[in-house]
This record gives sequence, C-alpha cells and structure tokens, in this order.
Amino acid sequence: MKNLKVIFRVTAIYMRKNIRRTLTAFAGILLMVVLMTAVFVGKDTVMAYLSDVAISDHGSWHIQAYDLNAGQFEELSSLPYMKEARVSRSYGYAAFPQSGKPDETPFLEIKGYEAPIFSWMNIALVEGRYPENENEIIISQLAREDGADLHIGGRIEASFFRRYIHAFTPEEKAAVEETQEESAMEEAGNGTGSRTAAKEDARRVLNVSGDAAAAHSEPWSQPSNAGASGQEEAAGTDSGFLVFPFQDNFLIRHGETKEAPDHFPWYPANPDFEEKHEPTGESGSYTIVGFMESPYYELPGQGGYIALAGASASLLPDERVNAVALIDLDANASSLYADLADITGGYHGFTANDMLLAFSAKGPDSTINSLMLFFQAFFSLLIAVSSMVLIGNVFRISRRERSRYLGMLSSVGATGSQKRWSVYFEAFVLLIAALPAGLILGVLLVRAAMALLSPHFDALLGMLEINILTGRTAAIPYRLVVSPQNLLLTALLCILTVWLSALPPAIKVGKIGPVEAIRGNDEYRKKARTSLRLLSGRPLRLLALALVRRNRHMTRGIVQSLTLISSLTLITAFGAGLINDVIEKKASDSDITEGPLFEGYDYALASTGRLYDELRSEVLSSDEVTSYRESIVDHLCGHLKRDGLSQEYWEALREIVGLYFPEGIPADWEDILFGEDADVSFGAIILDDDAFISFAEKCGANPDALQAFSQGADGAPASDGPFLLYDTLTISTDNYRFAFEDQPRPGYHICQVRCPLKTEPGETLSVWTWTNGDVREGRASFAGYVTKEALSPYYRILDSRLWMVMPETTYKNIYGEAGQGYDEETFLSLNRFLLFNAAKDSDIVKRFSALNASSMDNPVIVPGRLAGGFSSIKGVIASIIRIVSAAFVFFVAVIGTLNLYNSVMGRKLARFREMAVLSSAGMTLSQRRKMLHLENALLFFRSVLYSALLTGGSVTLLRRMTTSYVGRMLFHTPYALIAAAYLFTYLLLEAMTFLCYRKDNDESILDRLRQDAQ
Amino acid sequence: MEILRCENITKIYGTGDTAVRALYNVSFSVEKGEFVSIVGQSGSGKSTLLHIIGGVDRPTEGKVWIDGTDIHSLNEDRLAIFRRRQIGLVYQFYNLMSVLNVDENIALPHLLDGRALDRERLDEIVAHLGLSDRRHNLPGQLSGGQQQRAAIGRALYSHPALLLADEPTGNLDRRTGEEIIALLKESNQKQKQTLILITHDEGIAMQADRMIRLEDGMIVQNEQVRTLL
Repeated sequence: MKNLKVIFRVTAIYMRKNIRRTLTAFAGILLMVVLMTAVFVGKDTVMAYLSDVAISDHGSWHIQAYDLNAGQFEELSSLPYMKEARVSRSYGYAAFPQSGKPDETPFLEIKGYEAPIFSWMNIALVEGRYPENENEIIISQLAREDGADLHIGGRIEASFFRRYIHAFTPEEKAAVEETQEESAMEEAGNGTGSRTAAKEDARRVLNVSGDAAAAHSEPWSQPSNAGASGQEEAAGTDSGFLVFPFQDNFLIRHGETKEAPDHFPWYPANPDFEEKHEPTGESGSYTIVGFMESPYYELPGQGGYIALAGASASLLPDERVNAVALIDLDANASSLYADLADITGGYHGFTANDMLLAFSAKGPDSTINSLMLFFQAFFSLLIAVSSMVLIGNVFRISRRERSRYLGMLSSVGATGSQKRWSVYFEAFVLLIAALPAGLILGVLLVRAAMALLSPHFDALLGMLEINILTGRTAAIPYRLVVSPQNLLLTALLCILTVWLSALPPAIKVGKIGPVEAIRGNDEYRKKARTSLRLLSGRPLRLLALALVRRNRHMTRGIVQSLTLISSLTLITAFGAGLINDVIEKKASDSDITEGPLFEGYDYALASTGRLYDELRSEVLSSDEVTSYRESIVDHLCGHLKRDGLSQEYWEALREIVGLYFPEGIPADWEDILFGEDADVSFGAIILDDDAFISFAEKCGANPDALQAFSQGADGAPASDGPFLLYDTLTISTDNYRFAFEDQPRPGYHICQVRCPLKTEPGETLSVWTWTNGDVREGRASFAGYVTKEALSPYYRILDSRLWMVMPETTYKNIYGEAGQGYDEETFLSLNRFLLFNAAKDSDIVKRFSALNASSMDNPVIVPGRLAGGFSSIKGVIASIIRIVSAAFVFFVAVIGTLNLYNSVMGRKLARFREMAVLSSAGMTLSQRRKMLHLENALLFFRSVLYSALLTGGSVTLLRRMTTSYVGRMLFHTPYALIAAAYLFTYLLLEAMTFLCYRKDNDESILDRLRQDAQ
Repeated sequence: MEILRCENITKIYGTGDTAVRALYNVSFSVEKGEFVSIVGQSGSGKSTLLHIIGGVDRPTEGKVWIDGTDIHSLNEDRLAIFRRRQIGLVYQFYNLMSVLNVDENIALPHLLDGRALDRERLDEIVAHLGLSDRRHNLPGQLSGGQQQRAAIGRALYSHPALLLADEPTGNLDRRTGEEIIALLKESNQKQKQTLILITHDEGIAMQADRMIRLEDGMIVQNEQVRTLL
C-alpha cells in the first residue's frame, strides 16, 4: 500500500471525470449485491413462507407416533433432536345420538390432547374455550352445521368402541344378498335401497378427497372385478380383496376383519362388507366447553365428528397413547424416520408432517430443500458470473483511457503493482459504497416482492377454501427471514466477485508499458487479410465483419452481454422449470386442473346427478346465459390390459417398486403388479363428439380412427370408439407410499415414460371397467397421443396416471350406457360441472341461488372461480414457486440488460472518432444504420453460438443433477421459449443500439472528429 | 476552369457572449488542377475553412461551390455522397479506420459508393505510396508516415475533384513530411489533382501554386507563389 496515494488520487479524479461509467460500474456492483442478498434472503423467506403455508394446512407439529407405551414415549421424547413431545389419546368412537345426520355421521371420534397440541394442530375455536382437563370437550362446528343440537355446558356421555371392517367371504356375501333382496322386496316402490345409499356415500367421498386421483394408481385398481360402492374386489375367489381407494387404499381380504382406518366413512349394510364395533371398556363423561372449526383431518363423509378433550401428561403403566412432537430444526435429524420406525416397530407406526419437514430441511425426504440449496448456489453463481462480466466490461472499456494516464505515470516510474491498484481502488471504493446499500436494498427487494406477490399468493390460497369446508381464512402473512450469517456470506461472495472481476483488467493494465499505453495500439497483433474482391460493393459488410473479427476487445463486451442475457434467461427458465416440475410432481396432489379456457366465468353448477342434468338443460336453453363451458372428467374411467403397455412402462414400474424392496419384490406383489392379470387404470376427459374430432385433428390423430368414428356418428356402427392418450406417464415412489407403508420409505424417485402404449395409433386395445356391479370389457381405438401443450388450454394434467381424451360416444360405449345420459350411479368417479355467464340479477341466477339457500351443505351454484379441480395446498405451493422463479428470471434479465447497455455504449464511445471518419469519408446515415444492423446481427450470431454452448452445458448439468436427485425424468425442450429468448435478446441489442446512437446526429462531423472518444 | 468558389464564408461558434468568430466574409476560388496552400497562425481559421470546404462543417453564412454544386444546400445524405465522390480529405491525425487494413481503408469511400473495386487502381496507388508490403496491416501496425500515406491513398483513390489536406505533416518528422508533400505534389502535377493544403510550414506553403494567408478568420493575402518569390 506504500506510494499508492497518487495513484488513488488520480484514479478518484478519473472516476469523477467519467461519472457515467463510474455510475454504471456502481450500478452493476449494487445490482449484484442486491440480487445476491435477494437470493439468500429470498430463499429463506420463501421457504419460511412455504413452511407457514404447510403449517396453515396441517399445523406446526412435525411427527405423530401411535400406540406407544410409557417406555416408548420416553424413548421418543429423549431422542437428541426431539424438542418437545406431548401426549395425545385416541379414545375411540362413541355413539352420537344428537347427530343431525345419523345415516352418514352417527359417531363422535373423541381424542384427548395436551394443551400445546391444540395450537400445533391448528385447532381454532368458533365459540367457547379450549378444554382444561380430561372432562372437558370441544366439538367440531361441522356437527352443529349438520343439525346437531349442541351448546356450551351441554353433556356428552361416551362409551367407547373401535370400528372394524369385515369383508364377506363369497358364502357370506350370498347370504347377505339374499337377505337384502328380501328387504328390498319389502321396500318395493321405495326406490332408495341401502346399496344406492352406499354408492352415493362412496361417490361423495370420491368427489371431495384431494387424494382421490393419486390413490387410484395401481395396484389398487388391479383387481379385474369390482364391488359396487367404490371398493373393488379381486377375481371372485377367496384370495380376492377389497380396496378402498379413497381411504388411503385400505385393503382387506375376503373373510378378513381389520380395524377401520381413521376417518373411515359409515357405510350402511351392503353385500361386500360389514362394520363391527368392539367396546374398549372405557367411557367418559364430558362437558362441552367450546366448538372448533373443523380440524384439517376431519374429512367430509367420515363416520364420526371430531371431538377433543383435554389430556394429562402422566401415563399409566400399561396405558398406550399417541405422541405429537416437535423436533429441533437446528439439530441433525437425518435418522428421524429410522429412529421412529425402531421405536414404533415399523414405518406404519408414525406419520410426519411431510411438507413442513421438507421445507424445514428435516427428515429423510429432503428433495425440495436440497434442490432449493442447489439452485440457490447455482443462481448465486449465475449472478456472480454476470456481475463479473458487467464489472469486467466497465474496466475493460475504460482500459484504453486508463492506460493513457497510467502510461504517463509509468513513464515517470509507476510500477506494475501501482498500476494494478488503480483498478482495485476503483473496484473496492465502489464496492464499499454498494455493499451496505445493496444489502439493505436486497432485503427491501424481497420484502417488496413478497408484498407484491402475497395478494397473488392469497388468491391462490383462497382457492383452497373450497377444500376446507369451514372456509377459514386462507391468507398467510409472509415474514422476512434475515439472518446475519446470510448477510455475511452475501458480503463475502460480493467481495470475492468484485475482486475476480477486477483481477483480469488489473493484470492487463499492470503489464502495459508506457509506449504502448501512450500509442494506444497494443490491441493489434495480427495482419488482417480480407478478400476485397468478394466484398466489392459490400462495404457495410466489410466494415461490420472487420469490427466483429478484428476488434474483439471492443465487441467482446457486447457478445458476452448477449450471451449472458440469453443464457441466463434460458438457464434460469430451465432451472425454474425443473424445480417446478419436481415440486409439481412431488407436491401436487391434484391430478387434473382446468386450463385458461375455463377461466372468466361467473357461475358454476355444482350439483350432481339428475338435478345437475335438469339445471344444465335450463342453462343451455336460457336466453339469459351469454356463454357456457362444461367440464366432464372421470378420474377412474377404466383399466387397460397389460398387453397394451410398452416394455418401458413395465421397466419403470419395476424400478420404482424395486426401491421399496431392495431385496427383491415379494411374490404376491410381483403377481399383483406384474402378473398376467395386471393392468393399469386410466382417467378420462370427455368431450362432446364434434369437439373431440376437432381437437383430435389438431393433435394430428390417426385419420383412420377418426374417420371410422365419424362414420359411426352418422348412424353406422361406431365399433370401437377412438381415444387420445396423454403422452407421458410419471411413476413415482410417492404413488406407492401407502401401498408399501410397512417398508422403509426410499428417497423420492420418479420415472417418466413417454408414449406408454405398445399399441400403434389406429389399432384397438382392450379396456375394461365395471358398471352396475358387472365387469364390462370392450375395445377402444387408439387415435394417437396428445401433448401437454395441446391440452394446456383445456386441462393441466399431473401425469401420475394414464389420462385419455375421448368423445362421449367412446365413454358411453365403454360403459355400455350409450344414449342413457350420465348417471352417477354408473359413473362413480365422474366429475361434471358447467360454467356459465349470466347477469347477477338474472332470473336463472336468482332461482339457482334460492336453491342454494335451501341446500346449504350441497350448493347448486357457486362462483365460477371455485369450480373444478381446485389446487390443493401443494398445488398452491407449486404455483408460488413458479411465481418466484419468474421474478428471478426478471431480475437476472435486468442485470444482463444493464450490462448490454454498458457494452453498447462502450462500443459507441470507443468508435466515436471512427464513426465521424466514416461520415467524412462519405457514409450516409442509412448506410450507418445498416452497418450497425449488420454488426448487431454478426455479434448476435456469435453470442448465439456461445450461448448455445453455455446453455446446453448448464442445462445438461442441471438435468443430470435433477435426475440424480429424483430419478428418470423426461425433459422437454421448449423451442418456443428458446426462440423467444433469442428474439428478445436481439431486439434488446437493437433497442440499446438505438438508445445509444439516437443523439449522434445532433453533433457535426467536425465536433465528433474533435471530441475525445474517451 | 474554376473547381471551387467560396463566397462570403462566415463561421461563428457559440452564441451571445460566448460567440467566437472563426471566419469572416472569406471569398476565393480555385482553378482545376491548382495547388493552393493556406497558412496562418493557430486559431486563424484554417482548419475551419478546410472543413467547410470539405463539407464536414457548415458555414454560418456564405456558400461553397464545388464543380458547380452549392454543397451546403445538400441534405446530409446527399452531402455525404458528394463528399465520397468529389472530395478527398487528409487529416493531421490520419483518421484511418482501425479495424480496416491498408487496402480496405484506401478503397473505403469507393466501396461506400457501391462501386466495384478497381483492383488495378488499388495496386497502382498502393505501389505508388510504397505500401505494397503493408497492405494487409491494420493502422495500429503502421508507422505515422505509413498511416498518412494510407490516408492519402484513401483520398486519391476515387479521383476526387478536390483533395484537401489539413496539416498532413504536422504529426510527422521532417523527412517523412517531405515524402508526404512530395506524394501530394506528384498527384497534383501528374494527375492534375486539385490540392488545397493547410500548413504552418512556410517552406511547404511556398511549394504551392498559390498561397492564401488567414488572420483572425479573414484572408489577408491571396497571391500566386511565384509573385511572392
């Protein structure tokens, strides 16, 4: 640092003299600090927000362990990372004679919580207070809404029992059916048998369960015969079983009796199974002290209303309780699941708040957090690299001028080190000014972005209200998470980046000798051969080529800027897309959501069955309805036979299942999943016939299949109706987490299969479904594949199962109900809604609203935005991540744009005199414009080359990293995005050129000749 | 035959209190093939006059006629085209395009005019200027004298009506300066190229046919050199 005073002084004068360039460098450094801070603070803030979203959904507890004795409870409590464990008691069910819906919800499901658990579970009071002892109780408000006559101070007397399900053997089934037929005869003319009621219950459960679609993944849909109430049974022998796909695939073999899972519905008598109650021998007498909003785990349709009593912390010697616990998020809890499995005796003995743990980076499934950390590092690197280019550019552009005064200083004895310090001085003076400002602005940027985005988030979260019957407020406030460690790390990264930015120009400056510096010709080393014959008559091309080829130091900045903008935009978009894909695949549990074509409608018919058909006819024929659109989706339409699926599909399935069974897949699962009778369920999107033909033609469907169908539609036999198949299928470990719940859960892994059919377009294949209790086999004509892009205006599909698009005729052919109209008795998993626009004061809206008033729990009409397959909490999280990613793309583009402006301005300033020379030599304005266009085009194409290499390499790296984290994924190459990014980059270059050169004509040639270019 | 006529050229820079009169009521004419030198002290208006004649600056008042064309009545584009066809400019600091080699710099105005390259003419000029072994070099790889020769080549290549040289030796040593003046004189004498040269050097000025002396923006002397000798 000795003898640097004069260097610093001269540099400071130079910085003031070139204030514009100094400000550009400052802006670049400031932007870098801001973005770097935003990435670190933003990541923590977003993760905290996502945690809060997860907490708002399921609460702040981390794990629940079941059926523990005192020793196990103590063992769990003393785990090194366990922060707090509290007692929860599941007393069982009790008759609830006050129920307003005794045919649907005849029980109370009573639990006891230690005081802190109420808040951990998001138990919110509607009235009264929380229980303070074991004799006080609060009851779900749902019970009152359903008509139960309850009030604070009232008494509940409970004799507890456990619920068991017994699946009939064939003999028992025959006997029950005989009895039921006799009963039916007695009820002749009534038309509402219990079997129908059971179906209706099952349908209702199908419709409201967020996990409905995911639960349909094989193997639960494997049985080739099926029962009549939502459950399915294996091919009619003693070895068959029942599966309740919407009760976490509760499986029970014929003749077997199992305890009903939590939240199991109450099914009246039916020919497939019966419910039995076993008293626990315990009873309780409670005083009602409050009413609570329906807890998140209280599902509509479950057999008992939730009631919560207080619980003491002390355990009796032989008592078995549940534990609800928080873990210490700062501790290492990587062995959490294994420890819990050890304590509870298996992986089914506990549950974890998976999403909360994932966002808190705890538990074995750290996919999301690992990816976030990876992308945090990746984006930090991108910011650092782009900033290095920007800052380096500024110093490089100014090198010629700097070399003049440094050359002069060199001639009077300045050493290389002293010259280098002029660059370091400038860089670090700017950094010292930018660092505190950037850190503050970065935090403010995150705050502003969250403030800006939170209404959008709230709107997304607001959509969840349809899934939360209590309609509790969905808005979740964000909180800034600013840790000193993050700020320190950001500052260190920025210092390192600035030093690396300044290093190359400093080294070059240090090497410049006085003569070279003063002459300013150190850039040219080689001769420049050009075929003038070839370029005769093309002087502009000559000039443009000469600039691009021979003056790379002048154009390097532009090429780097262009490369950075396009590459960063693409890499960020790719990266965000990858995060989004993984999150969506991992987090989303809504298998189909409506696309933009279903947006913008005022109302939706929300009724079902015949009432829906009647109201639909009214809507379609009403003059008051200005527009409408109908959605018909069957989540479990039927099954494809094994032989229709490609080898790739079976290999992928084996890979995923194999992760649960590292020692080999057991024979019974081998038979169920891969045996002769194995098949695969599919969902269906049903369009009317004409719309299907039109859509299929757009998708490039097989014309033979369509033509045969068209002929059929004209009256000839339609034979095998056509269908299109969604072209990808994703099989993931998450699909099997319930099926193999006794197995250690493997890390998240997926396999994506493209074009999963062995069948070629135009060929037919076997499908089967069950209808009216019978298996119905048929054939359908495979017309081709439909892509995500083609379907996106209509629906967005989570391809965890096969999805078909088919015309009504095919659908009804499959069910054998052609021409009969949709009947929920037949189509159990059918989901229809009709969106329409009509004036608020129109008769039709008033009439439908009046129907609503008379049917509070089953609305006839709802706001249009609440129709359809709404996002689940996880879907909302995926949307939030998409928004945050888009915001990041934007900010990265800003830094690139600033860099480009700086580079183009640098080119202009460096060539100021030369442009004047060209003018004096007779170049017209239009020629100059053309020359600049040509130069831009050449620079752009050079940047495309570099960008393709950089982007290609980075995307390959990202994809490999993602693949190593989550498994085989299919990656789409978004050609439209790539084209748009490059077009944007080129237009940006043209715009910057226009901006920089627009005032050039105001000065005379002589002024420009005389003006110092620097 | 008159190739250049300046009528009452006045040039004022700035306005109001800061206005500076660089030229005042300057009138003269030049015959085709004539070699005219313009001399004067620094700030006398020589370069301003040359730039106005060359069409790279505009007079505040007055007209410049070159080969019958009032050049300052032309719009910017027409003036640019006129410059590249009719005027060759040689500057003290060469003003070559740093990204173009010698050949390309010399042919530049011709190429800008959309005309095909005259290879023979190019070879002839390059040989004449003694740049045959430097024709693929960029300006940064040339000496000052070589750069000035390339600049003269660029000015001469298109057979301009008027060759204007603004202190072309001001940045060169005496011997190189003499070579440059010899080249200019040769083009004037052999090819009848009209030449107007600005210089501080009375010796060089006396080699012209006629000498115009400027003081404070006004012509104070305009005489045939032989009458001065």
